[in-house]
Amino acid sequence: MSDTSRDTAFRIFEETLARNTDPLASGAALHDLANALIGARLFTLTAIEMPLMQVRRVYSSHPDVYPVLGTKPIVLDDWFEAMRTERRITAINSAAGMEGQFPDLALIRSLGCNSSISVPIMVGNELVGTINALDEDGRYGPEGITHAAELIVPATAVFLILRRHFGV
Amino acid sequence: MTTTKALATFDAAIAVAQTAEAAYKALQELAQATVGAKLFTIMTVDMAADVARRAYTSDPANYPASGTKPINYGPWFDVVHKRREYFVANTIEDIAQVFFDHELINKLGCQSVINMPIIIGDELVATMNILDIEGYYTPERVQMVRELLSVPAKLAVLVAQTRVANA
Repeated sequence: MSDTSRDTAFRIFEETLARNTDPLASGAALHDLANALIGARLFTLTAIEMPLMQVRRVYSSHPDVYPVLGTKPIVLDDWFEAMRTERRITAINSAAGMEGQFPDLALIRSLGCNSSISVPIMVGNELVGTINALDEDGRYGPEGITHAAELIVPATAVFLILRRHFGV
Repeated sequence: MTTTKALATFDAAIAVAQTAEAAYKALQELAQATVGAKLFTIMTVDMAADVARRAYTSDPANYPASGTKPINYGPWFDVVHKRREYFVANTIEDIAQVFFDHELINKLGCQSVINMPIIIGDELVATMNILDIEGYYTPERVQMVRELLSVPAKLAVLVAQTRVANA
Protein backbone atom coordinates (compact mmCIF):
# COMPACT_ATOMS: atom_id res chain seq x y z
CA MET A 1 0.00 0.00 0.00
CA SER A 2 1.15 3.58 -0.55
CA ASP A 3 2.43 5.76 2.27
CA THR A 4 -0.50 8.11 1.69
CA SER A 5 -3.21 5.47 2.15
CA ARG A 6 -1.34 4.11 5.17
CA ASP A 7 -1.16 7.59 6.74
CA THR A 8 -4.84 8.16 5.96
CA ALA A 9 -5.79 4.86 7.62
CA PHE A 10 -3.84 5.78 10.78
CA ARG A 11 -5.36 9.27 10.85
CA ILE A 12 -8.90 7.90 10.61
CA PHE A 13 -8.12 5.41 13.39
CA GLU A 14 -6.73 8.17 15.63
CA GLU A 15 -9.75 10.40 15.02
CA THR A 16 -12.20 7.62 15.85
CA LEU A 17 -10.46 6.92 19.17
CA ALA A 18 -10.39 10.64 19.95
CA ARG A 19 -13.97 11.50 19.04
CA ASN A 20 -16.18 8.44 19.25
CA THR A 21 -17.66 7.95 22.71
CA ASP A 22 -18.76 4.36 21.96
CA PRO A 23 -16.00 1.97 23.13
CA LEU A 24 -17.16 -0.61 20.56
CA ALA A 25 -16.29 1.82 17.76
CA SER A 26 -12.62 1.37 18.69
CA GLY A 27 -12.80 -2.31 17.68
CA ALA A 28 -14.36 -1.42 14.33
CA ALA A 29 -11.71 1.27 13.82
CA LEU A 30 -8.94 -1.26 14.43
CA HIS A 31 -10.61 -3.61 11.94
CA ASP A 32 -10.61 -0.84 9.31
CA LEU A 33 -6.93 -0.14 10.04
CA ALA A 34 -6.08 -3.87 9.76
CA ASN A 35 -7.97 -4.05 6.48
CA ALA A 36 -5.86 -1.20 5.12
CA LEU A 37 -2.52 -2.55 6.39
CA ILE A 38 -2.75 -6.33 5.93
CA GLY A 39 -6.25 -7.27 4.75
CA ALA A 40 -8.72 -8.75 7.24
CA ARG A 41 -11.91 -10.27 5.82
CA LEU A 42 -12.65 -12.02 9.10
CA PHE A 43 -11.41 -10.10 12.13
CA THR A 44 -11.87 -10.78 15.82
CA LEU A 45 -10.32 -9.51 19.04
CA THR A 46 -9.98 -11.94 21.91
CA ALA A 47 -9.40 -10.61 25.41
CA ILE A 48 -7.40 -12.91 27.64
CA GLU A 49 -7.94 -13.08 31.39
CA MET A 50 -4.89 -14.88 32.68
CA PRO A 51 -5.92 -14.79 36.37
CA LEU A 52 -9.24 -16.51 35.48
CA MET A 53 -7.63 -18.65 32.75
CA GLN A 54 -10.32 -17.71 30.27
CA VAL A 55 -10.72 -15.87 26.98
CA ARG A 56 -13.54 -13.67 25.74
CA ARG A 57 -14.27 -12.25 22.28
CA VAL A 58 -14.62 -8.46 22.50
CA TYR A 59 -14.91 -7.60 18.79
CA SER A 60 -16.11 -9.56 15.78
CA SER A 61 -16.50 -8.67 12.12
CA HIS A 62 -19.02 -11.55 11.85
CA PRO A 63 -21.09 -11.49 15.05
CA ASP A 64 -23.72 -13.81 13.52
CA VAL A 65 -21.25 -16.72 13.41
CA TYR A 66 -18.54 -15.47 15.82
CA PRO A 67 -20.52 -13.64 18.50
CA VAL A 68 -19.06 -11.19 20.99
CA LEU A 69 -19.16 -12.17 24.67
CA GLY A 70 -19.26 -15.54 26.29
CA THR A 71 -16.07 -16.96 27.80
CA LYS A 72 -13.99 -20.04 26.99
CA PRO A 73 -11.17 -21.63 28.96
CA ILE A 74 -7.63 -20.86 27.81
CA VAL A 75 -5.99 -23.72 25.92
CA LEU A 76 -2.37 -23.77 27.07
CA ASP A 77 -0.75 -25.16 23.93
CA ASP A 78 2.64 -24.39 22.33
CA TRP A 79 1.08 -21.61 20.25
CA PHE A 80 -0.31 -19.88 23.33
CA GLU A 81 3.00 -20.28 25.16
CA ALA A 82 4.94 -18.73 22.23
CA MET A 83 2.60 -15.73 22.30
CA ARG A 84 2.79 -15.33 26.05
CA THR A 85 6.55 -15.63 26.41
CA GLU A 86 7.94 -14.37 23.08
CA ARG A 87 5.10 -12.16 21.79
CA ARG A 88 5.34 -14.28 18.66
CA ILE A 89 3.16 -13.35 15.67
CA THR A 90 1.87 -16.53 13.98
CA ALA A 91 0.86 -16.59 10.32
CA ILE A 92 -0.48 -19.42 8.17
CA ASN A 93 -0.44 -18.45 4.55
CA SER A 94 -2.16 -21.27 2.65
CA ALA A 95 -5.25 -23.46 2.65
CA ALA A 96 -3.03 -26.53 3.09
CA GLY A 97 -1.32 -24.98 6.14
CA MET A 98 -4.69 -24.31 7.77
CA GLU A 99 -5.59 -28.03 7.73
CA GLY A 100 -5.88 -29.46 11.21
CA GLN A 101 -5.25 -26.11 12.94
CA PHE A 102 -8.83 -24.88 13.37
CA PRO A 103 -11.83 -26.78 14.75
CA ASP A 104 -14.06 -24.43 12.73
CA LEU A 105 -12.14 -24.74 9.45
CA ALA A 106 -15.26 -25.47 7.35
CA LEU A 107 -16.90 -22.27 8.56
CA ILE A 108 -13.69 -20.29 8.00
CA ARG A 109 -13.47 -21.58 4.42
CA SER A 110 -17.13 -20.87 3.78
CA LEU A 111 -16.29 -17.22 4.56
CA GLY A 112 -13.58 -17.25 1.88
CA CYS A 113 -10.63 -17.41 4.27
CA ASN A 114 -7.57 -19.58 3.63
CA SER A 115 -4.86 -17.73 5.53
CA SER A 116 -4.64 -16.49 9.11
CA ILE A 117 -2.53 -14.32 11.37
CA SER A 118 -2.54 -13.92 15.15
CA VAL A 119 -0.85 -11.04 16.94
CA PRO A 120 -0.42 -11.21 20.73
CA ILE A 121 -0.93 -8.00 22.72
CA MET A 122 0.83 -7.54 26.05
CA VAL A 123 0.75 -4.89 28.75
CA GLY A 124 2.69 -4.98 32.01
CA ASN A 125 4.18 -8.37 31.17
CA GLU A 126 0.75 -9.95 30.83
CA LEU A 127 -0.93 -11.19 27.69
CA VAL A 128 -4.14 -9.13 27.46
CA GLY A 129 -5.44 -10.26 24.09
CA THR A 130 -4.90 -11.46 20.56
CA ILE A 131 -5.73 -9.96 17.19
CA ASN A 132 -7.06 -12.68 14.89
CA ALA A 133 -7.31 -11.88 11.19
CA LEU A 134 -8.18 -14.23 8.35
CA ASP A 135 -8.27 -13.59 4.64
CA GLU A 136 -7.82 -15.18 1.23
CA ASP A 137 -5.07 -17.65 0.38
CA GLY A 138 -1.57 -16.11 0.39
CA ARG A 139 -2.47 -12.88 2.21
CA TYR A 140 -0.10 -13.16 5.16
CA GLY A 141 3.41 -13.60 3.79
CA PRO A 142 6.56 -12.01 5.29
CA GLU A 143 5.39 -8.53 4.29
CA GLY A 144 2.04 -9.11 5.97
CA ILE A 145 3.81 -10.04 9.21
CA THR A 146 5.88 -6.84 9.06
CA HIS A 147 2.78 -4.72 8.56
CA ALA A 148 0.91 -6.65 11.26
CA ALA A 149 3.52 -5.43 13.78
CA GLU A 150 2.33 -1.88 13.04
CA LEU A 151 -1.03 -2.88 14.50
CA ILE A 152 0.40 -3.60 17.95
CA VAL A 153 0.38 -0.07 19.38
CA PRO A 154 -3.13 0.80 18.08
CA ALA A 155 -4.44 -2.62 19.16
CA THR A 156 -3.04 -2.29 22.67
CA ALA A 157 -4.97 0.98 23.09
CA VAL A 158 -8.14 -0.69 21.73
CA PHE A 159 -7.80 -3.67 24.07
CA LEU A 160 -7.46 -1.37 27.09
CA ILE A 161 -10.61 0.52 26.00
CA LEU A 162 -12.62 -2.66 25.31
CA ARG A 163 -11.44 -4.46 28.44
CA ARG A 164 -12.51 -1.48 30.54
CA HIS A 165 -15.90 -1.44 28.77
CA PHE A 166 -16.53 -5.17 29.25
CA GLY A 167 -15.08 -5.20 32.77
CA VAL A 168 -12.42 -7.72 31.79
CA MET B 1 17.16 5.23 14.95
CA THR B 2 14.50 4.61 12.31
CA THR B 3 10.86 5.32 13.03
CA THR B 4 9.98 1.62 12.76
CA LYS B 5 12.69 0.70 15.27
CA ALA B 6 11.60 3.48 17.64
CA LEU B 7 7.98 2.27 17.50
CA ALA B 8 9.08 -1.34 18.09
CA THR B 9 11.08 -0.17 21.12
CA PHE B 10 8.00 1.69 22.37
CA ASP B 11 5.66 -1.29 22.01
CA ALA B 12 8.19 -3.61 23.67
CA ALA B 13 8.42 -1.18 26.62
CA ILE B 14 4.61 -0.98 26.91
CA ALA B 15 4.40 -4.79 26.85
CA VAL B 16 6.36 -4.91 30.11
CA ALA B 17 5.32 -1.56 31.66
CA GLN B 18 4.15 -2.12 35.25
CA THR B 19 3.66 1.53 36.21
CA ALA B 20 2.36 4.82 34.83
CA GLU B 21 5.94 6.12 35.08
CA ALA B 22 7.19 3.31 32.81
CA ALA B 23 4.47 3.97 30.22
CA TYR B 24 5.22 7.70 30.11
CA LYS B 25 8.97 7.07 29.97
CA ALA B 26 8.40 4.85 26.92
CA LEU B 27 6.48 7.70 25.26
CA GLN B 28 9.26 10.16 26.18
CA GLU B 29 11.87 7.92 24.55
CA LEU B 30 9.73 7.54 21.43
CA ALA B 31 9.31 11.33 21.22
CA GLN B 32 13.03 11.92 21.68
CA ALA B 33 14.02 9.24 19.14
CA THR B 34 11.73 10.68 16.47
CA VAL B 35 10.68 14.34 16.78
CA GLY B 36 13.17 15.36 19.45
CA ALA B 37 12.57 17.00 22.85
CA LYS B 38 15.00 18.40 25.43
CA LEU B 39 12.22 18.46 28.00
CA PHE B 40 9.16 16.19 28.02
CA THR B 41 6.20 16.31 30.39
CA ILE B 42 2.69 14.89 30.74
CA MET B 43 -0.04 16.95 32.38
CA THR B 44 -3.15 15.07 33.34
CA VAL B 45 -6.39 16.99 33.62
CA ASP B 46 -9.45 16.55 35.79
CA MET B 47 -12.01 18.98 34.40
CA ALA B 48 -14.67 18.04 36.95
CA ALA B 49 -12.34 18.98 39.83
CA ASP B 50 -10.88 21.92 37.88
CA VAL B 51 -7.29 20.80 38.48
CA ALA B 52 -4.28 19.69 36.48
CA ARG B 53 -1.21 17.78 37.58
CA ARG B 54 2.23 17.30 36.07
CA ALA B 55 2.12 13.52 36.12
CA TYR B 56 5.46 12.92 34.49
CA THR B 57 8.65 14.85 33.73
CA SER B 58 11.86 13.95 31.94
CA ASP B 59 13.77 16.28 34.29
CA PRO B 60 12.67 15.60 37.88
CA ALA B 61 15.58 17.61 39.34
CA ASN B 62 14.90 20.93 37.59
CA TYR B 63 11.32 20.57 36.40
CA PRO B 64 9.65 18.19 38.83
CA ALA B 65 6.28 16.47 38.73
CA SER B 66 3.71 18.26 40.86
CA GLY B 67 0.63 17.85 42.93
CA THR B 68 -2.62 19.21 41.58
CA LYS B 69 -2.89 22.86 40.68
CA PRO B 70 -5.69 25.01 39.25
CA ILE B 71 -6.19 24.75 35.50
CA ASN B 72 -4.36 27.48 33.54
CA TYR B 73 -7.34 29.28 31.99
CA GLY B 74 -6.67 31.85 29.28
CA PRO B 75 -5.62 31.89 25.64
CA TRP B 76 -3.56 28.68 26.01
CA PHE B 77 -6.53 26.87 27.53
CA ASP B 78 -8.74 28.05 24.67
CA VAL B 79 -6.41 26.56 22.05
CA VAL B 80 -5.59 23.26 23.73
CA HIS B 81 -8.71 22.50 25.74
CA LYS B 82 -11.59 24.28 24.05
CA ARG B 83 -10.52 23.93 20.43
CA ARG B 84 -8.46 20.78 21.11
CA GLU B 85 -5.71 21.99 18.82
CA TYR B 86 -1.96 21.75 19.23
CA PHE B 87 -0.36 24.78 20.86
CA VAL B 88 2.93 25.57 19.12
CA ALA B 89 5.38 28.36 20.04
CA ASN B 90 8.88 28.81 18.69
CA THR B 91 10.24 31.73 20.73
CA ILE B 92 10.56 32.37 24.46
CA GLU B 93 8.55 35.59 23.97
CA ASP B 94 5.58 33.58 22.72
CA ILE B 95 6.00 31.08 25.56
CA ALA B 96 6.12 33.96 28.08
CA GLN B 97 2.68 35.10 26.93
CA VAL B 98 1.03 31.90 28.15
CA PHE B 99 3.25 30.15 30.74
CA PHE B 100 4.01 31.73 34.10
CA ASP B 101 7.21 29.66 34.49
CA HIS B 102 8.79 30.86 31.23
CA GLU B 103 11.97 32.01 33.01
CA LEU B 104 12.65 28.51 34.30
CA ILE B 105 11.85 27.04 30.88
CA ASN B 106 14.31 29.46 29.28
CA LYS B 107 16.96 28.64 31.90
CA LEU B 108 16.61 24.96 31.00
CA GLY B 109 17.55 25.85 27.42
CA CYS B 110 14.05 25.63 25.97
CA GLN B 111 12.45 28.34 23.82
CA SER B 112 10.01 26.30 21.74
CA VAL B 113 7.11 24.06 22.67
CA ILE B 114 4.35 21.78 21.37
CA ASN B 115 1.42 20.99 23.66
CA MET B 116 -0.58 18.10 22.23
CA PRO B 117 -4.03 17.38 23.66
CA ILE B 118 -4.52 13.65 24.28
CA ILE B 119 -8.16 12.85 23.63
CA ILE B 120 -9.90 9.51 24.15
CA GLY B 121 -13.64 8.97 23.68
CA ASP B 122 -14.24 12.72 23.33
CA GLU B 123 -12.55 13.45 26.65
CA LEU B 124 -9.32 15.42 26.95
CA VAL B 125 -7.42 13.30 29.46
CA ALA B 126 -3.93 14.80 29.32
CA THR B 127 -1.50 16.93 27.36
CA MET B 128 1.88 15.85 26.09
CA ASN B 129 4.34 18.72 26.26
CA ILE B 130 7.63 18.73 24.41
CA LEU B 131 10.14 21.59 24.57
CA ASP B 132 13.37 22.31 22.74
CA ILE B 133 15.63 25.10 21.45
CA GLU B 134 14.30 28.23 19.72
CA GLY B 135 12.61 27.58 16.40
CA TYR B 136 12.77 23.80 16.77
CA TYR B 137 9.10 22.91 16.23
CA THR B 138 8.71 23.58 12.53
CA PRO B 139 5.49 22.65 10.69
CA GLU B 140 7.23 19.45 9.53
CA ARG B 141 7.97 18.44 13.13
CA VAL B 142 4.42 19.30 14.21
CA GLN B 143 3.19 17.00 11.44
CA MET B 144 5.55 14.27 12.70
CA VAL B 145 3.99 14.56 16.16
CA ARG B 146 0.53 14.12 14.65
CA GLU B 147 1.50 11.09 12.61
CA LEU B 148 3.85 9.32 14.99
CA LEU B 149 2.90 10.25 18.53
CA SER B 150 -0.86 10.82 18.73
CA VAL B 151 -1.80 7.12 18.96
CA PRO B 152 1.14 6.07 21.21
CA ALA B 153 0.24 8.98 23.54
CA LYS B 154 -3.32 7.64 23.94
CA LEU B 155 -1.89 4.21 24.67
CA ALA B 156 0.53 5.56 27.30
CA VAL B 157 -2.33 7.34 29.11
CA LEU B 158 -4.55 4.23 28.93
CA VAL B 159 -1.76 2.10 30.41
CA ALA B 160 -1.12 4.72 33.11
CA GLN B 161 -4.84 4.81 34.00
CA THR B 162 -5.02 1.01 34.13
CA ARG B 163 -1.87 0.72 36.27
CA VAL B 164 -3.10 3.38 38.69
CA ALA B 165 -6.52 1.68 38.91
CA ASN B 166 -4.90 -1.67 39.66
CA ALA B 167 -2.34 -0.30 42.11
